[in-house]
Amino acid sequence: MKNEPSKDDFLDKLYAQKKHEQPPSELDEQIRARALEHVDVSRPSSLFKWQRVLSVAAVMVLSVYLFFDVNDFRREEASEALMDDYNLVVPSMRGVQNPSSANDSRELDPARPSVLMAEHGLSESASALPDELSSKGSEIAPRLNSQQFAVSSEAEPLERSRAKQEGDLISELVARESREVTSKKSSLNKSQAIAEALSGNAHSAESTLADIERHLAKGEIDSAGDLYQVLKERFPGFEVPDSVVESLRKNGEL
Amino acid sequence: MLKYGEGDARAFDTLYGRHKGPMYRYVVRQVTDLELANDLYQDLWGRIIRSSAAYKKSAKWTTWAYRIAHNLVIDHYRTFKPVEPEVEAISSETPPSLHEQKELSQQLSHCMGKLPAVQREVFLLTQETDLNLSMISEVVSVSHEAVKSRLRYAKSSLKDCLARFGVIPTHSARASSSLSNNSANSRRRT
Repeated sequence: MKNEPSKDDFLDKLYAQKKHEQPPSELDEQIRARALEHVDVSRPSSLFKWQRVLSVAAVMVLSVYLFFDVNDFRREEASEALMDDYNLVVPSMRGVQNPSSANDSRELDPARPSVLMAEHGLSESASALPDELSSKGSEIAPRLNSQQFAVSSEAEPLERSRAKQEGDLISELVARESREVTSKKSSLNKSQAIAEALSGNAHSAESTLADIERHLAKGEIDSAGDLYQVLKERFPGFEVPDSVVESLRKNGEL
Repeated sequence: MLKYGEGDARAFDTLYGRHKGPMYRYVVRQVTDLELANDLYQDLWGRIIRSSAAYKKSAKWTTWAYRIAHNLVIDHYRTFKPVEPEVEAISSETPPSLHEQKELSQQLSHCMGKLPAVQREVFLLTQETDLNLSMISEVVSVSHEAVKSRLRYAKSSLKDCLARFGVIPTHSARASSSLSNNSANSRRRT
């Protein structure tokens, strides 16, 4: 025994003589073959390992690419939608601000500067003055300077008035758009009211009458008149209060 | 074993070459039938190969492998009750000078066969492996003290047995035997 304080050397020596027994060689071969087979079965080859790593990497790259691609597509869609909205809402504003717009035909006119000068009360001589001065040379330089100052001081109110005009134009366009939107909204309300009145069981004659009164109160006479027609068609026997009929008649709807 | 677990087949060859003898003797000397012992030995290595992926560096390989072997032998004992070999006792008058080395070896085998299985196993583990008593206690799943006791009884019994063959002087065998008996009696008293 190796690790115990033992005096049994005789036993150890005797046993040591018996340590020659070994497993039969065929057993060795069988066990080694089994071990080799187990390695082949359980362990993937290095090629297979690389294939697996590469396929995982390819999937990851594809995922990242798709992620960014989809994001870009969404961003483009959103910007296109914004541009469409912008074009729908302020087409005329773009026309004012952009000199190349077809609405402003004056931009294409070569005589545009003189026209503008004339519009704002400047004489032709003032526009031709720089050429004349340059031909006469340095002797008339002070005069040129003074005239240039005059032109620039006149051009300032011109720019200001032009900006004011453009601002007025924009305000007018916005107001027009707003009016259109309001009218579209009211016609939509009207359609909704008619649709509601026509939509079967949900509304009774009383509710339609209430709608008519509501429209009358709001001053939406057209809608009230249409609803009245619907009421009459759907509920011929229903008695409409005289006050309603009277107010519709006053407004020319009956 | 870790290298083999990672797919290095040559590592297994090295491992097998180092441990095949001790492990074979561990099995053969606990199972009397040689063919059965060969089968068990093959089965043992089959289990080791299959469990190679489960082996962790935290455990000493020898402890791990002999634990598998121990469980296998236990299973064998549960299935087949071992038949003790009939060896005729050599008369004590036989002069020791006539005993050849081969005979000595046979006598030791006979005496080991007479040992209780648990004592024989501990004796084999101390002789065949470099495991200390704590490791052996892990292998056979008993306490350190129990392993120590089993080993002492095993050696005492072996000496008694060999003394009957006249291999060792009777007085030394008696002395060790009385020592064992004394320790056993004192343990009983406590």
